[in-house]
Amino acid sequence: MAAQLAGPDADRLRPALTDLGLDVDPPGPLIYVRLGGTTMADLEDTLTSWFLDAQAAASDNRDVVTVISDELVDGDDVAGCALGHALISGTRAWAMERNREGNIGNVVVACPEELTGAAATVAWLIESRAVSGEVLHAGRRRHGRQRL
Amino acid sequence: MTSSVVVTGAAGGIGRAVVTRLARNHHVVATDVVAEVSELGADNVTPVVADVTSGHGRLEILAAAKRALAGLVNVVGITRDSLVNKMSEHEMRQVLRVNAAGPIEMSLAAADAMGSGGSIVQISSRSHLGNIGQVNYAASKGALIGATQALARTLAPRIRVNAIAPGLIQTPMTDAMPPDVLDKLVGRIPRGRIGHPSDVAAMVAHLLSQDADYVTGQTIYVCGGRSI
Repeated sequence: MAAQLAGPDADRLRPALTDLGLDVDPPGPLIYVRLGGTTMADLEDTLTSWFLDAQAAASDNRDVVTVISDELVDGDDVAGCALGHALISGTRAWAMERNREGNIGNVVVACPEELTGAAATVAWLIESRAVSGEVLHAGRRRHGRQRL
Repeated sequence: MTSSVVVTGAAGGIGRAVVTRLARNHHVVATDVVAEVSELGADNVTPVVADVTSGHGRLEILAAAKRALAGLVNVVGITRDSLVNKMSEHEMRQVLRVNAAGPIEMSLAAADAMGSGGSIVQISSRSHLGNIGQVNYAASKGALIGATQALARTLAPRIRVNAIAPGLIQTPMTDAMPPDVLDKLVGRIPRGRIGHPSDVAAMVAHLLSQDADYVTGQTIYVCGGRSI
């Protein structure tokens, strides 16, 4: 199974995916990896970067998995949480639209310090194509905080 | 009337309903980029034509508060719907800037101005759960929900921050829909009717009030049960 790794933190997930035997050279499903936060000044650019990659995937009739850090879901950083939730909502909207064309789209919420769980979840998603429009949490909860 | 509340996006249907509702108990700074916002002017409503996406605009809006700032309601929002393959980068950026970056920056600026505490309400949308032709809009409204949660944590206990996710609300756009299309949409709503801007305004008033003093970081769906 081939895939295309993209996003600013693609190289952090690459070893774990390769260990699982996934060919991470394109073409193939888009795996967009964003583990770090952003600033309010960069929020628009950051989200637009994801959009352009997801749009290219749609044009080529490819699936999308967006991988984000748990810090972007329930952290304290305003711009970071805006980014994380925007990527979740954007991916779900992408999936809802592209399901009609046979594409699937999902989000994996990862613990950045321990990416094997996230890699396994990504591999399962793109190989099984069993679910779409879902948010899957993979990895340990670092903060023990109840998710809002 | 001891406090001021800022309402952005005040000239639209929901914005007007929110201004009308809040003006019963507050001085309201009603702001929008369009001149029509001036129609809302009254003894306790100060209209301001300004842009929340600019730092200068935000300062202008906050300067219009006549009393201690106790609330901010971000209603501002636009749609630029298009299928993902046809959506332009400009349409993506414009929606993100107006619907997400502007309101979040406005929230941060208003929080600084709320000396003795207050309440912020973001008008998100049920579309943050995903909607065909709305990748940009969904992302922008999801951003508001993420920001709501982070702001609620970082501004606590001084300021409460919540979001409202309206479902199908009556607007000029829904009024223009063919009746059979609208009936089909309404048929999916457990409450059995379309929402009205006043439904959203009532929830805004509640979240700004002392009755909601123990509520923060939440997203309330005002959608007639459509999200269940």
